[in-house]
Amino acid sequence: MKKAILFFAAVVILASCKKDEEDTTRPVIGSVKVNGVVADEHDIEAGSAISVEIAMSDNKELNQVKVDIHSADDGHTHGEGGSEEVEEENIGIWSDARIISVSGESETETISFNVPNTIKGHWHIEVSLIDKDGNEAVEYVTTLHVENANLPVFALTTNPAIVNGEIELEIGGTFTLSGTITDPDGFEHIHIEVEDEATGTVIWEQEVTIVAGSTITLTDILVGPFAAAGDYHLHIHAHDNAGFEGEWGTHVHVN
Amino acid sequence: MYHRVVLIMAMLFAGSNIHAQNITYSVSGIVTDATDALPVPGVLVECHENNMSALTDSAGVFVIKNIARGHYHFHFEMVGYAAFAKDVDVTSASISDFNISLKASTIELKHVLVESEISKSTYLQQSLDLMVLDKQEWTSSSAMTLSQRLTRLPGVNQLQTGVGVSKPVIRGLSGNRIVVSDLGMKQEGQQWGSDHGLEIDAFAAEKVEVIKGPASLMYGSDALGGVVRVQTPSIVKRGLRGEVASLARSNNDYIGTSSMLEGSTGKFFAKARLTFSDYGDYRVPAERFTYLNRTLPIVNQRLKNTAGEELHWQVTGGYVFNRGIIKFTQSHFSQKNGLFPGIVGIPTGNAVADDGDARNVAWPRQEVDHFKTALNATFHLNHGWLEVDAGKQVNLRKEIIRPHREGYAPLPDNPLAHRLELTTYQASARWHAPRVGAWRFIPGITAQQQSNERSGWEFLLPNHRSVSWGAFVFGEWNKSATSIFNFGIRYDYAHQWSDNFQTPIYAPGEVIVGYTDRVGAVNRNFMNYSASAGWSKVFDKNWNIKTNIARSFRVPNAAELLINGIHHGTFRHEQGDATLESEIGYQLDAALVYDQESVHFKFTPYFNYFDGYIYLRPTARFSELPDGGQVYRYTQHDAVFTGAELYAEWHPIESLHLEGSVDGVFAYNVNTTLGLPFTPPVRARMMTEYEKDIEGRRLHAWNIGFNYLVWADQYNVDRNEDATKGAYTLDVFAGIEFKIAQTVVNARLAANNLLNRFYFNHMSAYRQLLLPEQGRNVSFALQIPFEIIQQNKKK
Repeated sequence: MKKAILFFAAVVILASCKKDEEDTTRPVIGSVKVNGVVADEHDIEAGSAISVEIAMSDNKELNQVKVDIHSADDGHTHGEGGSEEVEEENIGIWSDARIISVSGESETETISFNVPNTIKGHWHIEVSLIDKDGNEAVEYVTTLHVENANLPVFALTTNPAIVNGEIELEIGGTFTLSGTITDPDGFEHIHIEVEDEATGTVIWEQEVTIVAGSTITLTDILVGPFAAAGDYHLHIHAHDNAGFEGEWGTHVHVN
Repeated sequence: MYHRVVLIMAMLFAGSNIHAQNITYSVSGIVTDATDALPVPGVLVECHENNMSALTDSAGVFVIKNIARGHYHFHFEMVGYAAFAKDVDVTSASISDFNISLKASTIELKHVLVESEISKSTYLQQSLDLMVLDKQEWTSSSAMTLSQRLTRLPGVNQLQTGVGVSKPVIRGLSGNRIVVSDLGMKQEGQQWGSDHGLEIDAFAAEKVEVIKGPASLMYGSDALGGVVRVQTPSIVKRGLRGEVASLARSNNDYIGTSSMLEGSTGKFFAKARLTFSDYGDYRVPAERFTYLNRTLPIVNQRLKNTAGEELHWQVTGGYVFNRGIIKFTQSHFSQKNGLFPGIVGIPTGNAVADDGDARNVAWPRQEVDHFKTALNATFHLNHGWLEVDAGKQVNLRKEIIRPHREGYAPLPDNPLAHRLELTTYQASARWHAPRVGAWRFIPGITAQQQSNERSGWEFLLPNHRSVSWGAFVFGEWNKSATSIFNFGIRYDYAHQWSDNFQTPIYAPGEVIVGYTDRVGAVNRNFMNYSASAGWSKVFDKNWNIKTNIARSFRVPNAAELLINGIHHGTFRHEQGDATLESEIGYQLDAALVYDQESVHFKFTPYFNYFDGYIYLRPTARFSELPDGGQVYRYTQHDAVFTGAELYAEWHPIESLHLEGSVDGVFAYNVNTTLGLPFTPPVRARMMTEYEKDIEGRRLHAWNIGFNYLVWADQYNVDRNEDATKGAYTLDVFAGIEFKIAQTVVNARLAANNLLNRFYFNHMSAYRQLLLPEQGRNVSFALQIPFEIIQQNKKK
C-alpha cells in the first residue's frame, strides 16, 4: 500500500519529465543473400549446398538470429475464382532451423544448408533477429524454388480436362488419364489412388504395370466412378529405381 | 461442492418457510407534479424486490398489494418527468401514505434509475461509476457483437479479431481482469486468449450493467478491472407476445435475425429466443497489404475467409410468488468464424488468393460452442432477501487449420489443431439482510469448480482443474440522504492443478528421438483478501462526488501458469510460469457528476497500481520448437493504469440531443518504464441526434443524427508493439417508428464509416498484419413486436 502511495507521487513527477533511456529500437536485418544474391525467390537444385548470408545491425547489442527453413506449400486454392499463383504440391520433406548467438552492433553471419536430393517445390527461409533487450527485427522471408532433375517427370492429361486445378464431374461420373511418366533410372512401381478429402479414405486405386525403360505410357486409364458428391484428390506416386519418388495429382470436384 | 451449496441453500429456504407468517400488506400513495401539486396519472410504479407494478389512476393513486414484511425499493417513471426512486420499510402494517412528487424534465435522466442488479444500490449510492445500457439503447445500435455495442460507453473498448470475435476492455484491462456475468454466472470461456471472443448472444442481452473499476467484492476477485453484467432474464408480464428483430449490414453482407416469444400466466412465465446470423468476408478500403518484406493483394477488397455463421438459443422458465422468484435457463451459443489465412503462417499469394466464395468458412477457423444451464432465484428470508445463482457451463473451442508438418513430425491426418473443453460449475448466494437503521449488509459466498480437457495435434495448455471459493460481506451506511458510505471485505481461496505433458521430438523419417517436457505437473494453492471503501456525497443539489479505494487481488489463470506453445498468428512461443504469485491491485477511483434539467456531466478519473501485474513479456531468446519465433514469457512486473473519462449530455431543446465524451488510459510498466500491450488510444466521441415524437399519428416518431469518432495516435506501447496512427470515422443514422395495427414497428438505417476511411485499430489482432478496419458499412434494422394474447388486467 505504502508502495502504491509512494508510486502515485513518483508517477506525477515522472510524467512531467522525459522517459529514461530504455532501448526499444528494433534491430535490423540488412540483407539476406542466398548464394550471394538478394531476391524474393531463388532457384536452386536439389542435392546442392546453399549459403545464406545475413547482414544485421542494432543500435546497442545483438543477441540471437534464427534461420528457419520450412515448406512454403500452403495448399491449393479450390478456385472457380482463378488464383494468381497456383503452385504444385511439394515433394519430400525439408525442415531445418538454426539459432545462432550474435553480438555487437553489427555482424554478418553465413550459414550453409544441404538441400536434400529427394525434394522438389517451394520452401521459405525465414530470418528473425532479436537484440539483448528482446527487441525483435521485422522478419525477412525469402522463397527457395527447388528443382530436382532426379525425379520422375509427369506429362499427363485428363478427359474432362483440369480447369483451375480441378476436374468437374457429376455424381456417377468418371474421367480418363493419359500421357507419359519418364525417368532415366527406370521405375520400380507406380501407384494411382483417389482419396476423399473430407474423410481421408481411399475410394479408388490401381497399380500401374511396369515395363522396362525410361518411359511409362498411360493410355485412357478410367478413374471412378465417383458415387457421391464431394471433393476428392487424385495422387500418382512414381518410385524410380534410384530410390527417388515423384508425385502428381489433381483435385476432383463432384456435384 | 456445488451440489452441497445448492442443498444448503434449499434447506435454508425450506427452514424459513416453516416459520414464515403468510401475512401480507399493501403499499399505496399519490403521485403529484412538483410544480403545481396536481395528480399525475399513468405513472409506472415498480417494486424492485418482487417485480410487482402498477399505474397511477386519474387521481394519481397507485396500490401494490400482497407485499410481505421487509424493505422495498420503488421506481416511478413517466415521460416528461425525471425518473424517481424511493425505499420503503414494510414492518407491521400496510402503508397508505407513500406519496411522491415528480419533477418535469426534458433530459431522459435515465441514470437516476441506473442500479446495480446485484447490490441493489442506486447510482447515487454507488461509489464507482456504473453505466447501464437498456434494451432501447440496444436497438439503436447496429453493432454485431455485445462488446462492440459496449464500446459506445466512455472507458470501454474491445479487443477484436476480425468482425465477429471480440471481447470488452475496461480502462485498458481485459481478459481475466474483467468479469463478464451472464445468467448470474461468471462467463468462463477461454478468455485468456487474445483472439478468443465473448460467447454471448448480443440480441439476448436485455439490459447490461458496466462497472468501471474494482468490483471484486460481490463479483469475484477477478473483477479488479470491472464488470460487464448481462441482467438475468426479466420477469414476463401477463399475456403472450413476441418480437422479431433483423439486422442487415452491407460491408460483409451480414444478415441476422432474432425471434423471441414470451408468455406469462401471472405466476408462471416462459421466454424463448432463437438467433441466427450469417456473414461473408468483410470489405476494406485497400487493394493490397504489406507484410514483412512482401506486398500481397486483397482480392476484390475483401479479406478472404473472414466470414462466419452463428446460431444461438436461450429458453427460460420461471415462477413468481410474493415470497420470491425462481428462474431456470438453458442456452447454447454456437459460432463458426473464419480467420484471414495470412494470420496463420506466413501470408503467401496462394493463401490469400480468392477462393471464389465470399461466404464460405474455410481453414483456418475457430468453432466455439458454449452451453449454459442456470438457476437464478430470490427468496424472502428472515425479512431479508436471499439470492441464489447456480449453474453449469461448458465451453468447447476448436481451432481448425490446414494440417501441416512441424519439423519432421508426421503430417496430421485431420485439421483439428486444438480442442479445449472447459467445464465449470458455479454457485453463489447473497443475503440482502434487513436494514438496521441507516445500515445495510450483504453477506455472501461463492464456489466454483473447473476442469479443462485438451486434444488436437498442437499443444498450448495441459489438462487442468481448479476449485475455488470466496466469502464476503458488503456494508452500506446511509449517513444521510445525501451522504452514503460503503465498505466490504472478501476472502478467496483457489487450488489449481494440472498434469504434466510431453511432446515427441522427430528426426527425418518421422523417427522419434526423444521427448520435450512441455509442462510439469502443477499443484498450487492461492489465498488472499480484497477490501474496498467508498463514499458518495451530494452537494448543492445537482452535484454528486464519489470516491472509492480498494485493494484487490487476482489468482494467476491456467494460461499464465501453464501455457507452453506457439501462437499461430504471431509465431510467438508463449510460455507460462508455474511459480507466479497473485497479482495485487491498489485502486483509487473518483467521480464528479452534475445533473440539471437539461444537462448531465460526468468526470471519472482513476489510478490503479498493480503489484506483480502479469503480462506476456518478450525475452531475448528464440524458441527451439518447430515454427517457433521469439519466446514471450508470463512475467510479473509492477504496473500503473491511470486515466479518466469525461462525458457530457445536453438538450438545448427537447428534441435535440447532444452528447460528447473523451476517454484515455495511460499504462506504465514500472520495471521496464515502457507501456503495456493493447492499451486503448485516447478517444473522443461526438453525437448529435434530433428526435421528434408525434402523438396519435401512424408515423409515431422519427430521428436523425450523426456520430463522429476520433482516436489519437497511440505511442503508449510495449516493446515490439507498433505505435498506431490516429483516425476518425463518421457515422450517420436515421430511424422511424410507425404503427401497423396495434404494433409499433421500428426501422433504422445507418451508415458507419460513411467516408470509407482507411485506418488501423490498435486493439485488433489484424493490426500486426497491417490490415485495415472495415470500410463503409450501411446497415438496416427492423424490429417488429407483436402481441398474441393481451395482458389480462382483471383479477
